[in-house]
Amino acid sequence: MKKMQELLVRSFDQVLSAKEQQELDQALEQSKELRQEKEQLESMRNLFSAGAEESFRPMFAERVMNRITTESAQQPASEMEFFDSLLHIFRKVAIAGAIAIVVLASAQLIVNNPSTTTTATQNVSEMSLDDVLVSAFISSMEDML
Amino acid sequence: MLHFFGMKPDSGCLNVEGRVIEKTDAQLLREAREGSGDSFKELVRRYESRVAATVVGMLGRCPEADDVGQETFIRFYKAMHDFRGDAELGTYLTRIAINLSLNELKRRKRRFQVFPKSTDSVHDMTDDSINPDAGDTKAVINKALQKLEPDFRSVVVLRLIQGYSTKEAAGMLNIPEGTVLSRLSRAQLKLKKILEPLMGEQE
Repeated sequence: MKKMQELLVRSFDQVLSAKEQQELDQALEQSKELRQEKEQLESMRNLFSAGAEESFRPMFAERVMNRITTESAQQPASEMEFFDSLLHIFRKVAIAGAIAIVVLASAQLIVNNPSTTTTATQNVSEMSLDDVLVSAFISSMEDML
Repeated sequence: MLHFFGMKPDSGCLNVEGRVIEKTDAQLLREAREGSGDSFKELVRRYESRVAATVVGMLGRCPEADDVGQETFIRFYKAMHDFRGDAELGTYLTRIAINLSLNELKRRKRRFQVFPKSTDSVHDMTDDSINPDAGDTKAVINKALQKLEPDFRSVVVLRLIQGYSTKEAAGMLNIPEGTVLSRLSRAQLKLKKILEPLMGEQE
């Protein structure tokens, strides 16, 4: 009986094999209980298909449109936040790049002119950061030329 | 990108006999993409019932259902420029609605685990009584649905309430057809037990 119940439920949603269908038909013919079960399942499925008619609270479309308009109005602010964060990230990258250039230029200076570098290091405490960077840059440019 | 709507106040047009001819979904969609708020609103009205059947079936009648319904259309609004029309619009919206509902159920479950004695809508959903005398068949069906696990519920909503084929339901839920069939089978047996008093009364 349990097997027939399962076949019955399946028969609503898929095509049974010829053998299964024959078994089910025979069982339905013989069993009043199974026939009642079939009727119950049919009426239950009908109840559910009636549930397709649903609605939200009144003025649903208006609420959707209001939310869209509100979100549209907020959009420029979030765009600004995006560009601000982009600028923040770019600033970090720029600083890291500048430091890397200074380090590379200094390294090249040390490799090419150790004596000048020694003199320069001795006087470096008397120089400002700008002077150090400019002199390192000029030296490396001269080496390259 | 979101933008403000231009004003194109018609959602239907007159033919030579002066009768209003309803615009097709494709026409409304094209106008909505061009910035017509009224056309988009008409699409919302057209598909509200279908989305409501999905969301209310999944979540029950609760305040969250309205929010999820709104969110469904807002998601569609944001994605409508990418909608190629491979699937029917109703199917596309149902897919969004079912996924958002499943997400909401997960959120609800987490909230219920954190606050097990909360008296919000979750508590209402777990009310065991099914009262066929209540008169509102829809409400009874809804309550019976809430007694199923979400995975089973989603299959019942798509297959029995919305009337999608097994293949379509499987596609929307991203599961094999065999899984849809087995879940549907088990869900129906459980629902039959729950609804037996009501069905007996109807006969």
